[in-house]
Amino acid sequence: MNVSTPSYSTHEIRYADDILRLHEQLSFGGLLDHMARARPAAVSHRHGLATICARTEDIPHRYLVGILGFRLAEYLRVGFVSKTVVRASSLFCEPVTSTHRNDWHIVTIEAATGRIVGYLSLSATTDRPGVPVLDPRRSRFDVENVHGIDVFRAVGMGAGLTTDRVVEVKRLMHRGSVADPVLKLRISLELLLGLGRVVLDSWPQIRVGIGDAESNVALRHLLIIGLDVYTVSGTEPRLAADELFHPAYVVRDKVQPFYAEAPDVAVIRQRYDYVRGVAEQQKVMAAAVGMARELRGTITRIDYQESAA
Amino acid sequence: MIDTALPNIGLYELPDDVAEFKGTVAKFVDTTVRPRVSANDLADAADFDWEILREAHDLGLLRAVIPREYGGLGLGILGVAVALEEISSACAGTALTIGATLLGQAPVLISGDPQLQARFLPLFCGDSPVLACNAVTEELAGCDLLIPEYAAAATEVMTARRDGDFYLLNGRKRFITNAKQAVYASVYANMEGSPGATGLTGFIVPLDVDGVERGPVADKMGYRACLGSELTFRDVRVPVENVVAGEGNGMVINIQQMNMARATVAAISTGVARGAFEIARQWSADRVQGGRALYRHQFSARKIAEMATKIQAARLMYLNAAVTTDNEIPAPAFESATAKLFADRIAIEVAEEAMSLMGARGYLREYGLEKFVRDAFGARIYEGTPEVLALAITEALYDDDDF
Repeated sequence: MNVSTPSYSTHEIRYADDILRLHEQLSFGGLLDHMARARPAAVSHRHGLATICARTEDIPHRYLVGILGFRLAEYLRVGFVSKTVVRASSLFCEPVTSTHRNDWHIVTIEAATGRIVGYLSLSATTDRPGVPVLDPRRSRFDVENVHGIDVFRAVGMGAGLTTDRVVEVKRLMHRGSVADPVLKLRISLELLLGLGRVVLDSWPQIRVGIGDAESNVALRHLLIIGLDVYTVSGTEPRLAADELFHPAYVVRDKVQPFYAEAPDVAVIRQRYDYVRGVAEQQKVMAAAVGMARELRGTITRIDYQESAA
Repeated sequence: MIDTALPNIGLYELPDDVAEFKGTVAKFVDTTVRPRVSANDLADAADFDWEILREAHDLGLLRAVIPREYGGLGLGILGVAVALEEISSACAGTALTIGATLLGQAPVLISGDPQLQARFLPLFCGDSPVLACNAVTEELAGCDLLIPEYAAAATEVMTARRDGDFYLLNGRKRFITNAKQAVYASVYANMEGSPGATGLTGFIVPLDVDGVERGPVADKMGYRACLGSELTFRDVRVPVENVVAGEGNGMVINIQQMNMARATVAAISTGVARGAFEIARQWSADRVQGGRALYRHQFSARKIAEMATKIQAARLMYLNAAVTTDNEIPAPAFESATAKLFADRIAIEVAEEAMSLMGARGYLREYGLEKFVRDAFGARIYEGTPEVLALAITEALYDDDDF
């Protein structure tokens, strides 16, 4: 696929800049206070960062709008959303209707300022509970709609698995203005710990994570916590030019669907404790290098054309 | 015991969310606003109590009218009005800080421009309290910018000139609540070449841009908890996207904004009257002369009864205006203008009568009443003087083919 940059009108660029400027001014430390009162177990603190793991239904509407605004702003910043669509639809946040009440939001906030600095989403199925992933009538996850594939059949997995046991791992992002590599690493670790906490706390509900990613970005995060990941090459991701996320598949090269199973709960707990130990270190960079060696996951590459045949 | 709180009569049973909000605000007034009223009233004119405002913001007072899709409470003018009565029963200045922010939000809401709304309304939904303001009045043009028939005669009005993808604004606006602290102002300027104010156009102007100068804070008789100052604009560049409802529609937007906001100002005046009344009522129960409490003397009883009646009537009028404003497009002129006209007048009358009941003590700062007397005169000046309101009311009365 050729990587290209869409072109936008002056007004579209100005609107996008205004939305970026808007979100630069907003902080949501109040969300920490709210969650600390409502669901204290959902908040963890470390090295000046506070991470919340909460479902859509547990987040007050005002903060949900703020989180979705952060998502849109960061994707605007890196060019993953269409400025044409953002302006034409008068967006200042990703549409609230695009979230499901069972979606998980892992939000890392700079405790001193209340600014969101990292985010990861685990999107739930829209199916009722108990629908097999191999049922052709089930709802498709976004990654499947974009790439035009059935991820589970493509990787040859899914027997006995139902869609309510699957989450789509999406929107792994850091605030663009964070330049300090140590802080960026800490944010990544907090997001991954949030992922672990969600899986552990809801065990055995979440068994599989799917999504799509570039290999040197999101996939790397999954590998360093020891997940064994299947990637599917040879797909042709496609979104119509008037879709909000169309540029995400135009400006990036080699975005591949992935599939990863959660290991046994004892293994997850062990890795969670290990990663937490790394995150608590003062010299976190060195500790993370050790972690990558210790917990290294594997990639199994599946060629879609071959698997379809 | 007389309950000066809102009556729960069938016609005006508050929606649950508004009633709950009212209760929350009443508690905020008792625990946070009341203890600080005197200090804020006596403080230097330029001092501002951000602590009260932070708590007000946490409760949602600065985003009460903003629709939920933008992170607001979506309580409409009714929610704001009810809240402002509560606050102004302790401090009209604090109420107006919030009310003036609504004035700055109103043109964005009225514009019907979703891009303008998306760019500005979510500002009020983060952690930090954000204020807006409304810049209309000028040195030589006050009511001339509020009455369409006077527009042609307006003199030396602030100007706007199109320059490519921007407008250049030049001029000076005075007597603006929140100008010192606001992040943006809704500003009315006349398109160059249009006589007087016939080309009046509304703009949303961020106040951190080059060319904007915030003037000194005015030292006011009342409403001292809010800051009033002025704004000067020198070749301020405003993008074309910041025009409200197109060039030349400023007068229409301004009038709609006032129609929308007047119910809340009537609520402020009602609150001022209520605040004064509550002090006088208590005094009239405690003070014994001729062997009985003051309220048991006929002349005093008459005064108290008249005061309570006026407050009740003012309240019902502003509630009616607020509900009508929330349910009609465009916001009605008659209900809101009559509510404000009446409430502004009775605020002065009730405060004055309260002072007469209290005698010398009413004149002393320590009893808190004289502040209400000073504050009572404020609302008669902003968002339409009695004269402007009279014109709006008669315009509505005679806006009919029969006349």
